[in-house]
Formats: sequence, structure tokens, C-alpha cells
Amino acid sequence: MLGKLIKYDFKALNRYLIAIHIMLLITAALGRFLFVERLIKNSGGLSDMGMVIMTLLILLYVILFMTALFGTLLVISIHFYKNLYSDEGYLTHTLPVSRGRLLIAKTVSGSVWMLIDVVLVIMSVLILVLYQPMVREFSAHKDEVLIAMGFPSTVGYGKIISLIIVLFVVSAVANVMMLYVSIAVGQLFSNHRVMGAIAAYFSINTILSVVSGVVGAAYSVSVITNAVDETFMYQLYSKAYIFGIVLELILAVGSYLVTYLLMQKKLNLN
Amino acid sequence: MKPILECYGLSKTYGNGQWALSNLNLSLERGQIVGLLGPNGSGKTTLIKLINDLLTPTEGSIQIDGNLPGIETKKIVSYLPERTYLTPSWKVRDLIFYFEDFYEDFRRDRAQQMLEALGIGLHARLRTLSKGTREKVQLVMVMSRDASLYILDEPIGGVDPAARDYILNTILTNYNENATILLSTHLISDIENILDRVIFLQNGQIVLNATVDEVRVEQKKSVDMLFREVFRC
Repeated sequence: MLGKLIKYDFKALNRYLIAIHIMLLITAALGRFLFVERLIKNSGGLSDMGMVIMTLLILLYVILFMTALFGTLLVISIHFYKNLYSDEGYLTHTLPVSRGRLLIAKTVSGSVWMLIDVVLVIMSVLILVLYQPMVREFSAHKDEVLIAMGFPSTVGYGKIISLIIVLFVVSAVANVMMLYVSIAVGQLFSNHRVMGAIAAYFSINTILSVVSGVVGAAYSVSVITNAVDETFMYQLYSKAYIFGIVLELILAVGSYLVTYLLMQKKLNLN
Repeated sequence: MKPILECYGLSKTYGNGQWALSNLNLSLERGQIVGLLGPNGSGKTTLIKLINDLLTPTEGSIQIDGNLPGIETKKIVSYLPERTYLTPSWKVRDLIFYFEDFYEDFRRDRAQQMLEALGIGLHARLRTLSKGTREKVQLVMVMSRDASLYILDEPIGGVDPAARDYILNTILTNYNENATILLSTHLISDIENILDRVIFLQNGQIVLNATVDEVRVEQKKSVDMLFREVFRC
């Protein structure tokens, strides 16, 4: 049953998200081949008309870029809300499956799309701007770049990239859970439940930024004042990373449990 | 055999100081068509939502075939809500696949037969159908399950009289002898002939629970007349 639930959740999300992301990639590719390539080959070689079209295309790309980022959050939230708490919820909640499975299916489908979104957005930037000489320069000096950023030479790119991937996965889940818990909290209001969800979302976000701001600042100060050698930047990175991961994990697990309990105990379809 | 539905001291308040249901006790035997009747706000939909696990009781409990509302009861209860729960972008056949995927007792051939009789194409997108047609589609899906308890909330409210007849016939021909149908409606005279039993609900309490024959013989009235009398404004 869980597999079937996930299948239908993906079906609902794919409908919009595939189209948005394909458009993003196509625009990036167009921008690349129509303009960036030409600029690289002969700088200043665009006619006035070309400049106008390029500006429009860049504008379109920026709009799609934002649409992909925020649209993904929005599509995932709307699906969660509609499928569980609007009229559609009358069918979803009378399927012979547990509330826990409904939530797991939504967590899996939402998080996977969140991750795909991040990957495709990064890919679109690379399509647009990455070019050979840049890559060559980078490969030639990649160790120096690392050291300039404050990493000891013993830390390889492999480790950094795998840690970043872990961070992306954890924060994809945490972001999705934060959307879900906000919507579930919004349901506690007897009226204006969508407004309640939005208020809940911004409240959680505010608390989160205050906590991470305060703790982050305290951490940095302690690391910098205690710095004995040149590895202090690296220490700062490591601590910030661990703090970020722990915070996201707490957020994800906490939100999941609260959402589950609210679905289980407080379901109250209008 | 256990009764299909039992409610013990069932109460529900939405936190506004008013009780939508208060201390309701009810036991329904299998194999009958039961009309759940009452004026607006009498608690019909609240009771139905509680049976379907869409609300949690404030006090008391419900058992369906001996189980509290949950996965097991959802397997045997086929529920038609008073609103449309269809995903507008789906085609009729997507809905058939969906029901087939989740309900073991769903009979696809029966659904297709009924849809054909009503002239509804499998490839029609739900968004393009009229409100009445969507209600028909939903009723067809619900009646295409071999459930033990059918709960139909206002099943004939929005459809034309011809389709209403077809739907009532559908209900009669598709339900097996051991199944129970609990249906709520305002249109009493239209369905009076198919009911075995009526339950009158007022202010969250049962004011009458009798067979239609009892009403006719003892009160010498039709259910419709009795309803108008009991609930006179």
C-alpha cells in the first residue's frame, strides 16, 4: 500500500514540477548557446537587438529560477493540503491505510522532489556559465583554492562534496517537514486555516533563524577567540556544519512527530 | 453475527460550547437500508464523519463490525461524502485504477457497466463533467464495492429525477443481503419506498428509531408526513 501511495503522490507532484524544471533547463541551455557562448568567443560582439533579447532571456531565466525554487515548495505544500485537508481528504482519509503511511508517502515524495529541485537548479546554473577555460583553471589550482578557503590540504574534494550531499538530503527532508507541520498546525484553527498555516510557517522560520543566528554567532566568536593556528576557519566550518545538520535533524524529526500526532488526534475535516 | 454498527454514549463538540452529538446510542443490524433523517444541523454529517474516522469523538465510542474506526473498518465501509472529493485533472478511468489499487472489494466490471449505462465515458476528464455527473461518478465508484456498510451522505441531492431513479435502482440492485446501507437525505418522499428503517436525529440525539412498517402501521403515516410533524418549525 505504501508503494501505491507514493506512486499517486508522485503523480500529483510530477504534473507541475516536471514542466517547471524542463523549462528552466531549456532556458538555461538557450541562454548558453545563444549568448554566453558568443560572449565568450568574442566579447562585445552582440548587436543592440541581441543585447535586448539577451536581457529578456536572462530575465526569463531568473523568473524560472525563482519559480523552480519557490514553486517546488508551493506545489508540495498545496498537494499536502489538498490531498489531506480539503475535499480530496474525504477520499484520502477513508482509504484503508494508516495515517502514518499517508505521511511517510508524502514525506518521501516531497523530499525527493525537493532534492531533484536543488540538483536541477544547480545544473541550470552550470549549463549557463560553466566553460572550458574556467574548468581548466580550476583543475590546475584546485588544491590552492581549498587552502584559500581555509581547508587543510588533507581534506579532499571528495569528502567536502559528500558532506554537502548529506546536508542537501537532510535539509530537503527538514524543509518538507516544516511545510507539512505548518499546514497541520494551521488546521487547528477553526477558520482561516490556510492563513494559520502561513503564520505557523513564518513563526517556525523566525524561531529557527533566531536560534541559528544566536548559536552561530556564539560559536564563531568562541572559535575565533580561541584560534591558535591557521586551521580556525576549518574548525568554524566543521562546527557550523555539525550544528546545521543537528538543527535540521531536530527540525525534521520534531516536525514529523507533531504532524503525525495532529493527523492522528486532531483531524477535523471541514 | 455482531451488529454492523454500534455507537456507545457517542458525543462530539467542536469546542464552541454546543454539542453536535450528545450521548448517542445506536445499534444497526445487517441487511437493511436505513434512512438517517433530520433537519440541517441535527448531527447527521457529524455522525457519518465519526463513523468514517474523519473526526474523533469527544466522548463515547463507535464499533464497526466489532472494530474501532481504522484500517480494518475502512476496508468494509464504502462512503459517499456530501461533497465531491474527485481530483479534477483525473480521467474517469484514473479513478477506477485508484479504487482498484486501494480497495480489494472494488468490482471494476460493475463500475464500467454502470458508467456505460449513465453515458459517462472512461476517458472523460472529471473537470469537464457537470456537477451532477461528477456526483454520479462518485456514487458509481462507491456502489461498485462489495462493502458491508455503505454510508451515503445526501446521495441524490444534486442529480436530476431520472438519474435519481437510476441511482436508487442501482443501490437496490447492487447491494447484497448482508450489507447495510445508511443514507442521509432531506428528500424523504423520494426514497421512502426503499427504506427498511428510519432514524430521526434532532439536536444530536435520536428521537425515533423504528422500521418503516412500524411508522406506517402504528402512526398510520408516511415517513415524510411524520418527519414534517416531528420537525415542524
